[in-house]
Amino acid sequence: MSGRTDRAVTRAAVTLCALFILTPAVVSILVAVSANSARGLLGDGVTGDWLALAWEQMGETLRRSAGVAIAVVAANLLVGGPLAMWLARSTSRWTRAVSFLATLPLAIPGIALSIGLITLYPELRPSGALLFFGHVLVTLPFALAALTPVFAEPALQTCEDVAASLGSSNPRVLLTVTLPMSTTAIVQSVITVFALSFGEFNISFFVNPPASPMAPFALFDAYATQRLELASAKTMLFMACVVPLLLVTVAAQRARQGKE
Amino acid sequence: MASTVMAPEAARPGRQARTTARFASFPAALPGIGVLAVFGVVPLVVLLVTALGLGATGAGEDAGFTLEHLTQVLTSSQLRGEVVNSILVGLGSVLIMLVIAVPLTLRMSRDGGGSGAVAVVFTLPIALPGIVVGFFTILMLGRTGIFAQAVPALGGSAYALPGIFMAYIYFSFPRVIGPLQASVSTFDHSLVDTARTLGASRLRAFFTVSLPIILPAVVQVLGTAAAVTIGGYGTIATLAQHERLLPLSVADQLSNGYRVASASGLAVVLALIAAGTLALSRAASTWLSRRQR
Amino acid sequence: MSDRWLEIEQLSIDYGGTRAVREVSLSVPAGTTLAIVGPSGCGKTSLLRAIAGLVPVAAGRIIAGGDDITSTPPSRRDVGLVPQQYALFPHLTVRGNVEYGLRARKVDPRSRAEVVERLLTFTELTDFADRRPAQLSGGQRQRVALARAMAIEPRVLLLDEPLAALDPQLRGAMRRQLMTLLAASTGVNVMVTHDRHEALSMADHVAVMRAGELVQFGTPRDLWDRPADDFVADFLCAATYVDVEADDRGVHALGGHWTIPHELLQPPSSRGPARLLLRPDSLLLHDAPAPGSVEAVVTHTEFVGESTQVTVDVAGRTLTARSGRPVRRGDRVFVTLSMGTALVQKEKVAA
Repeated sequence: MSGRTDRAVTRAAVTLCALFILTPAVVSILVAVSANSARGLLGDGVTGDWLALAWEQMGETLRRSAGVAIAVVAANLLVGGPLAMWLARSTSRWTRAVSFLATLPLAIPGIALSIGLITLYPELRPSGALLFFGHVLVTLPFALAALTPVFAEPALQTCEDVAASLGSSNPRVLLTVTLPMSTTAIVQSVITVFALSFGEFNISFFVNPPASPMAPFALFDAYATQRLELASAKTMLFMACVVPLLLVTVAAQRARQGKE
Repeated sequence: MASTVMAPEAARPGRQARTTARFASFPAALPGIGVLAVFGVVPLVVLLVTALGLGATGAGEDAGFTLEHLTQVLTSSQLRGEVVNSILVGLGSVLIMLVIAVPLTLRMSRDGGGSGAVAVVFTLPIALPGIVVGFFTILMLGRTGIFAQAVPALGGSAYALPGIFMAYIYFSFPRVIGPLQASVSTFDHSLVDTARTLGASRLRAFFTVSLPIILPAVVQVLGTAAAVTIGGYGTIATLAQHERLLPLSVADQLSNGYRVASASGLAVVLALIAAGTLALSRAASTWLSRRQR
Repeated sequence: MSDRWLEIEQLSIDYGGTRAVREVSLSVPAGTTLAIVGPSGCGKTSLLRAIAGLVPVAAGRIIAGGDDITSTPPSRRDVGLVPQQYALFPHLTVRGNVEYGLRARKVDPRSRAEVVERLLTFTELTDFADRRPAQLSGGQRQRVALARAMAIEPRVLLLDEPLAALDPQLRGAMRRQLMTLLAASTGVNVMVTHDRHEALSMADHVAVMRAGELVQFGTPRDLWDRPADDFVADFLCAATYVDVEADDRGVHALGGHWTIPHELLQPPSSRGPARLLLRPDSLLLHDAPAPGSVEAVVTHTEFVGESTQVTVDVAGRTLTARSGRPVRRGDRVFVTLSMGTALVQKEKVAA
């Protein structure tokens, strides 16, 4: 049949979609290095001044956001790992109810949750503790989604059975079989949680301690009040923090698919 | 699976007939359940209580039971418009995205065309918060956006409904394509070939074979993505000038004048719309896939 | 002790509220292979997992090498497990897999290396020692799994459907190789299978299970010659039992429709009720009536190469025969018993 035209049409559609996604990102980079974008892209020549200024104004905020995101990742592993294990393997009838609980933060808009959070726990807000717990709450479902199916895999559990019958104690089975065999899922959940927390805006809007804004706030502020070039430069810095992580996840996923 | 962020509906896998559940410890799971309860369920209950006037009240708000904070979305014409717009933009952008994505992902799973670079590009917007998507729209369709520089009539359209639609399509792109690619990856293309050898036209094969088979997945993706777009605040916060969506008023009630009960009321309505969309789509998806068996 | 190296006493296992295995008792001596066979869902895998300590035992005892291991945790049982898909650790090399148990047991590096080298040589895996499981063929994976389990010199070596994961064309060769490898183990090998050829050819003892109960236990020859009931006859021997009544004129089968002369039977029958074990090669087909024949109608034929498998209807009963010459569906034929191949047994057979 017309297999070749079919493939050409598919490729053209894919290319159009890729352009739709990439164009604004590329434009924002071009604006960020334009001396004066009002005179067109790269108007009045190329400059690194906006980026330098953006870094000067936002470097500290990016570091703070990264710090929060790392803490949120750690909490997700410590709290979400055992929860995912229980959801994946327990025969308890309560697992269904708890998986339902875990979908709540997805179904309920962050802005609604954040109003509930500040009404209930105003004293946790200034320290940033409320922001931290809010982020853990909205990222936990994604960590669970990445880990639970992997922990539930019969192949993994059979390998654990074999390791135990070969004389391994339970902690040893966990360290030498369970964790190494789940590395891809763990890496994926780490990156997902980091990226989500780093860019979280909805739940942070009211929960964020006013004295120390996070990166999305700095961006929001820049969009409202600053020149397009500076706002673009800040967006570029923000993307530079999360896009490389995205590359790692996609690469890891493809590597795993290739193996299967 | 090309999406970084998988929709967590797979959180309950089929339980194997095993009587040993190694490492499955309820006490170890408790902290996680605690976070979900203390920072998820309890705030929601408080939100509802506040919305009914039984909790905290803000400036100019009377304490005591009332449905006013909830029903204001019906009584105020401005809020009514916001609710309609929110549903229109949230569902509409995802529907438009599905019209593109269903044939596209089917063709990609058959013809290939999903290189590593494509996977990265198609997943990229998921790492971008709504505000960045809003900013992108301003860069393209704002008053000095590059399309405005080429076609002056487009200047400022970022702040009108068509521009907001574009922003939300961009926002929902990875949230539709990713899960759809995952479910289409198991699609058996020989079914379409069989239909074609039986005399069905390409279009007929799509509507009578491919679409019915993937419909449960499509409906589920629709609900999951629409719940996120309806509830999202960042994009509209960046693009809010003339057009308003419900999340804006939720935020405004609290930040301008600290009307906490009123804000809670609107938040509850927003949550009901988003969660309701999700719940409806899951129910419809389950019903559809049960009908196929 | 070594003649009852593995002993299972009145073992019962519950699975999600239902009894999966009911009061199974058997014992086998060291250096032998036991095959547990039965259709899927018969409880054979539960029994295997109970020996490994992976499912709790509801009642009864498991004794291995003289020790009661019923409540010993899996990690201290000295039981080697070779699961159906082999469950090789994907993140470890072949060597890493084989030495896993020795490391867990804190065996010193020198003797560990020695054991691993010996096993790699024995299983012909030395050249693949640094490969990952994903880079191995099915047969090589099986040998890694076997070497890994044998490295701890287990008291009991458990194999769950050891050949099921391999291509059917490879199974014959792999079966012979597996038998050679299993002969080296000093404890008891327990193999679960649903394939009667595997059970009969590889095991010294066969336990047939159905619906959670042990139906028959014995040597392959015992079971072949004297299956306990219709189920074992059909499952293990592809044979059928036919009830008969013997008197002075002959042996009467199928409600008197068929009378078989005494001299065709082996051993010669005594008088009274008995059973006839009919295998496909027990029946001969003729075009015309012969002494001791019964009329039958061909209902189905299947050409299998060396002969034609023929299903016939004899007085309402369906029997299977093998025929050297072609017959067609609907043909009228006459069936006799081939000389000395069918056995008549007493009605009550000890299970």
